[in-house]
Amino acid sequence: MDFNLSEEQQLLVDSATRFMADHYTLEGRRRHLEQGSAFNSERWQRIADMGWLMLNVPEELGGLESPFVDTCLLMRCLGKTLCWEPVLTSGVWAASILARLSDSPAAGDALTAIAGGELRVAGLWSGFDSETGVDFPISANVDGRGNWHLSGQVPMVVDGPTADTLLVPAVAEESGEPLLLLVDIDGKGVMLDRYVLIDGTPAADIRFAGCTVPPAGCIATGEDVRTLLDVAADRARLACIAEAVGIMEACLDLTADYIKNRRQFGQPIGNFQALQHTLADMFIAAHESTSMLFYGLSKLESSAGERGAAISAAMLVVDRALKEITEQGIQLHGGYGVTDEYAISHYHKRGLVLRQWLGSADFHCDRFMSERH
Amino acid sequence: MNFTFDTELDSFREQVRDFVRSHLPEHIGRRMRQKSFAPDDLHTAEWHGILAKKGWSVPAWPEEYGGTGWSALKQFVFNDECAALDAPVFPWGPRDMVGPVIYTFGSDYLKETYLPMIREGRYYWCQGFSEPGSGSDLASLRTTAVRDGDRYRVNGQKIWTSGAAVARYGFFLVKTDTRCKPQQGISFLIIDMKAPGVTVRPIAQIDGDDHLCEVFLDDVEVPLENLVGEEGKGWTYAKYLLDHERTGSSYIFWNKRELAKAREIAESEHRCGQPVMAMEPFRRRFAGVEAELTALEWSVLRELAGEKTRWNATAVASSLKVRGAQLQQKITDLQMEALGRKGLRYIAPEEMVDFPATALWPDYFVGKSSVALITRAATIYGGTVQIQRSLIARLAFGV
Repeated sequence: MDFNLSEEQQLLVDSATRFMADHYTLEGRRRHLEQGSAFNSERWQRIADMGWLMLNVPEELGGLESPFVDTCLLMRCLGKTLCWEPVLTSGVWAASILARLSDSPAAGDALTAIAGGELRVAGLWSGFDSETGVDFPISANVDGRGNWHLSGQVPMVVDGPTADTLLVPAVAEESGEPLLLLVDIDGKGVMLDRYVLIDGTPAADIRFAGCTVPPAGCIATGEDVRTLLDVAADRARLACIAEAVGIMEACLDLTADYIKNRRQFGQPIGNFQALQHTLADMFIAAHESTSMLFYGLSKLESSAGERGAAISAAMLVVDRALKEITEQGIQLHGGYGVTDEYAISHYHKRGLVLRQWLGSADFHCDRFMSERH
Repeated sequence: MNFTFDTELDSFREQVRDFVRSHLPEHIGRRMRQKSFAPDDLHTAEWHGILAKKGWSVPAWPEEYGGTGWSALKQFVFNDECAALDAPVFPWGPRDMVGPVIYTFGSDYLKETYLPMIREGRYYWCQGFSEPGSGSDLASLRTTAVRDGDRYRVNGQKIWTSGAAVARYGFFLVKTDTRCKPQQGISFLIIDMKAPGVTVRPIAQIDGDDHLCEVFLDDVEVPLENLVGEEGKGWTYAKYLLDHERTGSSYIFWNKRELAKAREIAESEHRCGQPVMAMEPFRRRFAGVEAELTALEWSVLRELAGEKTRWNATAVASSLKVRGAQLQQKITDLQMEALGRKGLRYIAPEEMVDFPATALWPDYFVGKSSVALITRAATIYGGTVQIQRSLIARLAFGV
């Protein structure tokens, strides 16, 4: 057991920290949001140039295939500075699925393109109502030439509007078999209702009507698709936990700094014990969330049941901690906490997204309990 | 980074499990299953003696004094297994407090006199730190030790001295100098509890037990050689202990075992025609506590594996103490909720030994409400959670 960073990991963290400080400031974020969260391909290319989109890509496809903890260390840095790029969606989640489809040339091509920054892929995850958290709301009808005709819709595809390609879990109409398809977002019959989430992340309700996918676009079939999606969703959850831990650490620093400098009654408000104890509780919550990140990572390669229980337990702890830390962070900022000008409000909103995106606390509580008991 | 136990530790775990299963006397295991805290009596001493023969009674000590040379993680595995199999937890006073202070700061005389008896678990020791006017503000203590030839004369009063009534020895913080700054005049003294002038008055507790005591020291003569280390350094030694033992106050092993008991109760007790464990509100609470306990366990592992963080180490230790104490209360709450009305039946401490179990009143019922009551103290002793929060704010953030 070793919880200290290796030299390479320290380098990764250091370079990510520097990069984020240079390119993802609060002012930059506010400008980005004012512009309707418009995607900027130069910025994305810079991210790709850092090699971060290669972490989950196999070596033979031009990737680094790093241990997943490296991805989490990176996501923690991204969380700290509220990086708004779709790294988790494309570089972690989609890449984690595609990397396990070595037989599919289309999947391989997509991965290589993801690694190089030329392609962004968003998955259609419908909301985690099923037992494992993966549903198949799109139905696919195959014709005589093997083309798939898609119909159905999925609400709130996070990072959908900035993707080039959609990763679509579907069910074959005749056989009832699960499928996984790659669909060009600009193709005929793909309709997007675009909006932004509470934290500015672009999202869209996506509907298929008269959308045809050639045979090569179907990159996986059969029950393995479920397993594939489950594993990838849990990897995405760990990345999300890591991002959350980064957010928590940033909130601790921000809030400590604020109460040391803000003066009332002739002294820094940090002198007041009620505020000190709130800050201490935030610290404790952040510390235990970090522990759950490591615990979750330790179970990533375990059996599906054990992995799922562990990661859901981690999500449960992180859900509470994010709530406590960002809400109390606002409280300790007083009125400034509810302004757009102070970063704490942005962290809170990102926290709200992370607490729901990959399954709510209720979902994770159920999953944890049903696996454990 | 690496988040798995070495395979060597897995096989060691098996070894410990086999040993405890074959050597822990059944009557001791049963008592531990019923009441959660090790009784400060012959049963603990008996188990301690068994471990001493195996060479496992003081794992953390340096090998020259009978320690095992195990890594911190190996000790974790050892303690984890012992607790899971209902072995008594040692009184931490002698093993984890006075022992380390003696071998680190004490004279050869103290080492030769006391370390062997602690290692063999021959006597119970009590800790005389708190005073009626010095609880959280320990440095304000007023018990004095004045030199008189080849001895000290000790006068004063201690309180919350757990097990003083059955202790053979005690380690005390006393004032040897009242003129300097409070922290500087404190010394660390070993006192024979049978010495003339020592009076112990047990305190009737919330749970019906009387383990906590008041100790009155009335002109007690203590040989000068019972001073541990240097005069006036007692505060430093007490702090050394806190730094030395950062994870013990998480009560991680106790918490794990008691949560397992809560589960057993909730799976066995029925309400509205179903096991309590199947009731949704209970399940949810249980899940939350179990997840939090896992976090605590991993926080302990991080500490034991020597994680370097940007945070002040004492602040991290305080955070483990706060969560550990809160969890003790949450877990005993779960036990009480699962027992429902059964938890209301009072069992006097002396009835708990050899309580005749029935289908209605099974073994798992015994002692739970007493433990839940006394566990209200978990967030008070050893520095209240409020003191810990103030420490965290100061040490981690400088506020």
